[in-house]
This record gives sequence, structure tokens and C-alpha cells, in this order.
Amino acid sequence: MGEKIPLNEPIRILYNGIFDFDGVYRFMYDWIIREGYDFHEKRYKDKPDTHGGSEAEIEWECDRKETEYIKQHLFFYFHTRDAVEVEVVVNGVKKTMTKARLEIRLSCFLELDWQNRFKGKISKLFGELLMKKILKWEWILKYGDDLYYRVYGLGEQVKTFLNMSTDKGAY
Amino acid sequence: MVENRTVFRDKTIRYTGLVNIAAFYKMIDDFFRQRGYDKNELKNFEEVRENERQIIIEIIPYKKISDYTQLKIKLNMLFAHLKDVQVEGSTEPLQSCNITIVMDAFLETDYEGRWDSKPFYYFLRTVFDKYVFKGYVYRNEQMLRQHADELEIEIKSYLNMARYR
Repeated sequence: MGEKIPLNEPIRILYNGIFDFDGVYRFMYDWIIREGYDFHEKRYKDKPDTHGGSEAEIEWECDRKETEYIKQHLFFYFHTRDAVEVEVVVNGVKKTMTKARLEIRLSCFLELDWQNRFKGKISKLFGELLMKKILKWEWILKYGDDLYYRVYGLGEQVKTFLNMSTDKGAY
Repeated sequence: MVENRTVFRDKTIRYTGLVNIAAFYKMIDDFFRQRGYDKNELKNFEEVRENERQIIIEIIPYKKISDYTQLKIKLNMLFAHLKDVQVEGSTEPLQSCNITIVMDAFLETDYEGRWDSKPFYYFLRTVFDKYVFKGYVYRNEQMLRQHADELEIEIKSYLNMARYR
């Protein structure tokens, strides 16, 4: 197990209103599979019919091997509170949607030396010299920056799906 | 431990009127992108009520000047009582709302935490920051202040507010 380096503070998207939760779930799942990540649903907690509505907590952890030394990790967290199902008419078609308070947290980090090749005392020193001094800016710019803005792009796509006003950024 | 130097706090802009929220948000994003800041959106909260909406956004874009110094501008934006409005003769989507923007600016040094592992390193860092690199610190502070002033002017100009200096 290598060293995990967080790339961002978790991006929090909070929405209170009517939205298609199944659609958001499937949209994000499709994005993960399309990008070639391995998908793991770590937790799915559902509390139906609590006071005010049902509550659900979902945690996803996804990873993708970039090179022999670098692995990208994504961590997604969904939390819906006071969720009730409502029927709305969208473009003349009746659809079942969810009225709830939704929180989505997106975070990403890089794992260096995920195969744990630099195990011994001296190897570890060489590994640290290689990754933290010699190749530092290469992996930060090539893999770190790429992942960082890809996650922001996903956040903007989710905001567009939820029909939020601030979905179009400049990056 | 990161050393945070507050350049200014709580610079507030308030506005009530018509604005295109999507374009306004993109304008601010564009501003930071042009000046080489990295995007850092911590919170984006949109609440849809029966007759109106409310949006709360918190962003802290940062710019790494070197491996020791970075500039940060924190923006807390509140768009309250947001209602979609149709103006005659215009196809642009407009909203009527109350906007409150609070701006803070910080100069962060030693953001990688290299100079705080031992007390002697911490001492060296403080002495160097205060006496040897005084000019660089001052220059970075002035750069940050200039960016924040430009952002304030850009926002006021976009909202067509009176700009008196």
C-alpha cells in the first residue's frame, strides 16, 4: 500500500428541491465506467420512512491504475435527507422524482507506489527520492492536475443534471 | 503547519436587482482562470422553494507562486430571494435577487509544511520571512491585493454598480 496524496478538499454540492435521484445515480455510475475506473460501492445505507421522509447514505470508491507507480482514486459520497417521492409532469410525461435535500461530496487522491515495490529501508529512500524529488512535478502535473479538473468537470455535469444555476464554469 | 497571513478580511459587496446568475458565476471563474488561479469550489448549495430559490457558494481559488508561497482569495456568495424574470425585448435569462459577496485574501507560506518539522527550522523560516525575504513577501502581498481589487472592480462593473474610489 503506497502513499495516498489528497488532491482537493471535498467538493460539496448541496441541493434542496425536486430531482431525479435514480438519474443522478446512473449518470455518475456511467461516468465512472466510461472513464475506465474500477467501481466499488463501499456503503449503501437506507433508512426508509424516518420522520420527514427517508434517508440514504451511499459511499463509492473508484480507482484506476495509471502506471506501475501511480493509481488514481475517487471517493464519492451521497446523502439524501427527508426524501419523498413525488409525481411531476416533465415535457408532458408523468415522471416519479424525489423531493429531498441532497448532498454530494467528490474527492480525489493519488496513490504513489501502489504495488509497494520500494519496501526495504534503502529502496524506500530511493523510492522517495524518485517520486518526491525527481519526478515530483511530472506526476503532479500529468496525473494530479488531470484528475483534479476531471472531478470538477464531473461536478459541473452533475450540477447541469440537477438544473442548478451555477453549472457552467470557465475551467 | 501552513503560515497564513491575512491580507484583508470581510470585504463585502451587496447588490439587489437583476442579474444573469450563470453568466455572473462564469465571469468570476473566468477572472480567476485568466490570472492563473486553480479552481477550488468547496460548497455549492442551491435550495429550491415554492416561489424562489437560494444559492450559497463558497470558493477559495489558489495560485502557487512557488513551492513555498501561494495566494488564496476566499469568496462567500449568497444569492437570496432568487426569482426568474422575463424582461421585455430581451431573450437573456435574468433573475432578480439579493447578492451578498464577502471576500477574504490570504498569503500562505510553507504550504507543504517543510519548515515546521523541527523548532530550529521554524525559527529559520520566521527569521527569513521577516528579514531576508521581506521584499518578496511584500511583493506577493501587493499582487494579491491587486488581484482582489481587480475582482471587486470586475464584479461592480458587471453589476453596473457605482464605483467610487
